[in-house]
Amino acid sequence: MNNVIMKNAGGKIFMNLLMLAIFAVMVGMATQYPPQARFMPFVIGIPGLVMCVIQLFLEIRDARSGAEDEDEGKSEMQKAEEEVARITGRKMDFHEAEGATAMVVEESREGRGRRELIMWGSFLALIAGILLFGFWISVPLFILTFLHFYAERSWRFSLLLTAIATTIFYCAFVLGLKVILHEGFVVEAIKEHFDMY
Amino acid sequence: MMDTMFSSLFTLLSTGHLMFLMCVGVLIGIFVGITPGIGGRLSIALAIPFVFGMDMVAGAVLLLTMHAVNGTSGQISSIMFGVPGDGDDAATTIDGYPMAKKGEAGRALGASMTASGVGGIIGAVVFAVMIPVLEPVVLSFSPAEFFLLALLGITFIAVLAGGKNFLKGIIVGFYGMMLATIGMDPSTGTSRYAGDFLFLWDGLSLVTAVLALFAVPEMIALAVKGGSIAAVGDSKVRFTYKQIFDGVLEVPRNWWLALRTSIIGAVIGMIPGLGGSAAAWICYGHAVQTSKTPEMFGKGAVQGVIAPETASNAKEGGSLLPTLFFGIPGSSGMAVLMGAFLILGIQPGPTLITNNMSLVWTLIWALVVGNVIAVCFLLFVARWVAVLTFVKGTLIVPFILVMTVFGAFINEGQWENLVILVILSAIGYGLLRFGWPRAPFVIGLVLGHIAEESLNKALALWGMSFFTRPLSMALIALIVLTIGYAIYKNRKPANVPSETSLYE
Repeated sequence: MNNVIMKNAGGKIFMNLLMLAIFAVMVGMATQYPPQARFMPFVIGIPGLVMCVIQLFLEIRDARSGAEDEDEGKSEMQKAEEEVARITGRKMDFHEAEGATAMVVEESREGRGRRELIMWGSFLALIAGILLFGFWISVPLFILTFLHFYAERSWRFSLLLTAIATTIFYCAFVLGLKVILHEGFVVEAIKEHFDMY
Repeated sequence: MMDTMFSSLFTLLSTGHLMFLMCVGVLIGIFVGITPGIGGRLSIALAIPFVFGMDMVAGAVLLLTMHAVNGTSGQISSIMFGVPGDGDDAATTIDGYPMAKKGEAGRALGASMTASGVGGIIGAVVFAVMIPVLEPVVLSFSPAEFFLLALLGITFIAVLAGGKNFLKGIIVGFYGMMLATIGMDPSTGTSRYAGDFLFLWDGLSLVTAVLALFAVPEMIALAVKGGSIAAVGDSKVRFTYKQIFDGVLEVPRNWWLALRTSIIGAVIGMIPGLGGSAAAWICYGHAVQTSKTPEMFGKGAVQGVIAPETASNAKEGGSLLPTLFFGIPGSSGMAVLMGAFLILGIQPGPTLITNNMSLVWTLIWALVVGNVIAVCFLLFVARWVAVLTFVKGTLIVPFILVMTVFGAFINEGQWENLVILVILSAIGYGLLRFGWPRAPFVIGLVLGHIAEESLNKALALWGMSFFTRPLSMALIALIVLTIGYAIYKNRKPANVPSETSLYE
């Protein structure tokens, strides 16, 4: 439990440092601009920097004292009971609605890091695929592999859903909205090489 | 005014493509409301690329209808399976689910859907009634006030983040405003933060930023969380149309409660920062307080279904008012909606009153008609669309991610936006993962340009003395009071549940 809290605190501090760095870099860059152009970045960026420092101090203080969210461990219905009791000044009992949310079957927390990596990997692969090979190669491939490997559906079901989705996307964007989509650098290079334009 | 009011209704009802778009909006709104994992904000963010380039009225009607009927279908899973679609529906679960367990699911659904419809209509009426009251106030605002209004908007939306997240909310809002400065400086023509990247000279793409901050992080989180709602036995959720009709009649039987909670909901919606779910909980509490049998609440009291449902739909009409007239979104959903309105070319503020009052009336009527269509439709199909509750999250994720990528690309047709999408998505996921509110970012990004323009104009007109104008001073006082309230709320032991804590 303590490990989880410490990991979370580390993440929060990292996020804070990231925001601080963004503001610092942007304010720093703004110093190179003419006075009128740097006015707004200063008006926003300098208070932003100060607030990030205050927030960082608060995060570090909370991490050191091991402060936890006071609602941690309470069920949704317990929180609801407290909220309505605060409004009405009357003790409430919502246990009859309890148990409903327990129907949500969640997967274990243990593999969370691994799943996060897989998801980010898949998303980056989708973007890289589109940039290199274009939409009409990468999108069906992404949907098909995601449905089969991540959502654990059969090849037949995944293929069917992929075909339906790709048809809908093609009809909506190419035929309907007449959008010219990115063809992919590799595909463009091949077409150019073979003089296919 | 009456002319504009009725001609807008006539135009809306007699224009085929507007009615068609409204029906599409209702269907998407219902689908999004009932499917777990897709919130109202996300659906608007995803729809932005499709309305890009659309006629202003048509696009606004589609998006608003989608957003307005979202809550109406969310209650189906709350009542039938005890699984709230989003924060607004959580209060409905408390009595709706016990009713379903007693075999009164149909009655609860009939009552909640009718209450939603009634709430939506009364919310729109309250908005309409407030227009002549607020018109002179809005028209008296100058550029100085619009700069301060932008800051006030961020402060208000940061309050939505609640408790310890208030400061984070302000930081994220300022981060959005900072990113809004990317591109050509309007007064000197200097390229700021864009370097040699031509695609950044016009500024960061709002569509890409909104999709990156909302759609991608939500979908990755949904896939990482995994799981699904286990299907329950059919016997629990079986009901007849007679039961639904009995439920419909519960609203006129409790008309006084429905009217009161609708008005309270609409007023809460008008106060930016109080947030969506606050309306439902406050009205639920009001129903308990004014009931002769308060001990029945939590055990299947139909009033416990009517009160939160009227309130949460009425607040949509209410929160449209600060969004359209002051440029301050009443809720995080309205924040994304306002971003979409700006993309469509709808500029919130006095120009809307002076030049485009017919659009305002069209939107009010869209709220009313959209709610009526949604209720009529849902009363008949509720039992069938309920199965969408059991759709596994991982089945939705690839399609939404692909739509997000399409959206980021087609808005400007530049592949560079896909790279921006990845970078901002990583930051958005970090914000989501570590409890930083994301709604203030949209406000900051949207209001950044307006704020800079207004500040430059105000300084040119009055110099630094613009701060001492009476209206400016009133707004500064309001900002200080809001910050003071947030600090006070944070120090109190029992916090009002915030968007990011209890309900998000």
